[in-house]
Amino acid sequence: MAELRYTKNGEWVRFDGTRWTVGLTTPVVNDLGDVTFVELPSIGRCIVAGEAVCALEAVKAAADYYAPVGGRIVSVNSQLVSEPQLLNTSPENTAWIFALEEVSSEEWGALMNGEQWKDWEAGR
Amino acid sequence: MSERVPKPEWLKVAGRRNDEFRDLRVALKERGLSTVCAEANCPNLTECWSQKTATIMILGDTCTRGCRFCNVKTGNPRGALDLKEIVHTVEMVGMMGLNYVVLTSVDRDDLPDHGAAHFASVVRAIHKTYPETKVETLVPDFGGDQDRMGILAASRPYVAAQNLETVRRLTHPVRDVRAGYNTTLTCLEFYKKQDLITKTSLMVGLGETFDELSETLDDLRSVGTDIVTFGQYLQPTRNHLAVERHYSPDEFLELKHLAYKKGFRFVASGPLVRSSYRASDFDASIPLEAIHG
Repeated sequence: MAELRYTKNGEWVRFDGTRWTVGLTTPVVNDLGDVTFVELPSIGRCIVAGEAVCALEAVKAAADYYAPVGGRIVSVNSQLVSEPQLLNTSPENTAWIFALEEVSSEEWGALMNGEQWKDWEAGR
Repeated sequence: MSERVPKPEWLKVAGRRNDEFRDLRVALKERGLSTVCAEANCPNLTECWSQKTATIMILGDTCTRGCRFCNVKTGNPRGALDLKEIVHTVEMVGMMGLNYVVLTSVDRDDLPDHGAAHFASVVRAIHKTYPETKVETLVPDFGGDQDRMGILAASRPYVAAQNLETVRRLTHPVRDVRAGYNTTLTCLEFYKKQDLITKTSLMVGLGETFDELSETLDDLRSVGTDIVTFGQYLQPTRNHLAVERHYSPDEFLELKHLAYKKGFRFVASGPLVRSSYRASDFDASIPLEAIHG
């Protein structure tokens, strides 16, 4: 069963046993506003954690998407190119942004699990 | 489908969420306080909140006016007033630990005094608990009523701000029908006559010309306005006014130079500059006692 983890900056990472899929949490997308454009990264690119990997544009803002973990990009969600608004309607499911392999266990382990993230968000 | 016009690189927002961001958000939620940052979808929200700075918006989160550039909720609060905003705002000031805070509010045309007394109460409460903290008030026009403005002025904010928003020609449709170019100038003049530092903000990119901006600056200086800020208008949602064009950083610099040439005491000008963005960068070096009276 896939496991979901989070960063303080509001990125989520889902590991299904083979690859890590990344996206944005609802609170972050809500602050961003209506998303109008997603610039996806190239497949095959190797990235490091914290790197600005791709660009997001909303009606009122433009922002970079920062990689929550490092690895090699093996897949991107092309649906976001034609339907960027999916990030607003389904940020934590359909609107995954890209998928990685070769993520280090240390980086994966350093992320917050669901309970930890809920507690952190609530200030507990 | 219309071709996408990419946003310029200089509009990319900075800031990453951290513990400070989270603490601020939790504290605001626990106290039922609104911020213009969140309600108006400010692009600088992450940057400011992660540095423990926020502009608290009092008198609730529902504005009786509907300006076409603003994402704050419009409605009729039917006289509702949360008096706990006073103590809660003071608590937030303490939590943020800032020496300079900006307070703003929605318009409350539904209240007999348009919220002037409540606004003044919050300012006085901050002064009482944190006498060293400078309070900048970004206020509504209170219907242009001098008695109401007098109530606010008597609380002696460090800076009294009201946003002119745009040039005369574009005031309507940009602003709500109840707002007015001359009304705002009159308000700024009133506060200046009370010996307060005065401030206003202009959004650019709505179709104004450079000459119109120059005339607007002259109008503002004619009522003694001390501080002006320029920022790029950004469309909050597709239901708001479209952006006519994006000004370049060089153009913002040109506006800054022009404003200083016209005698403004302090000018902030940049694509993501907003009225309260880094407001404490202005430091008049005037002792608080001279303002409080």
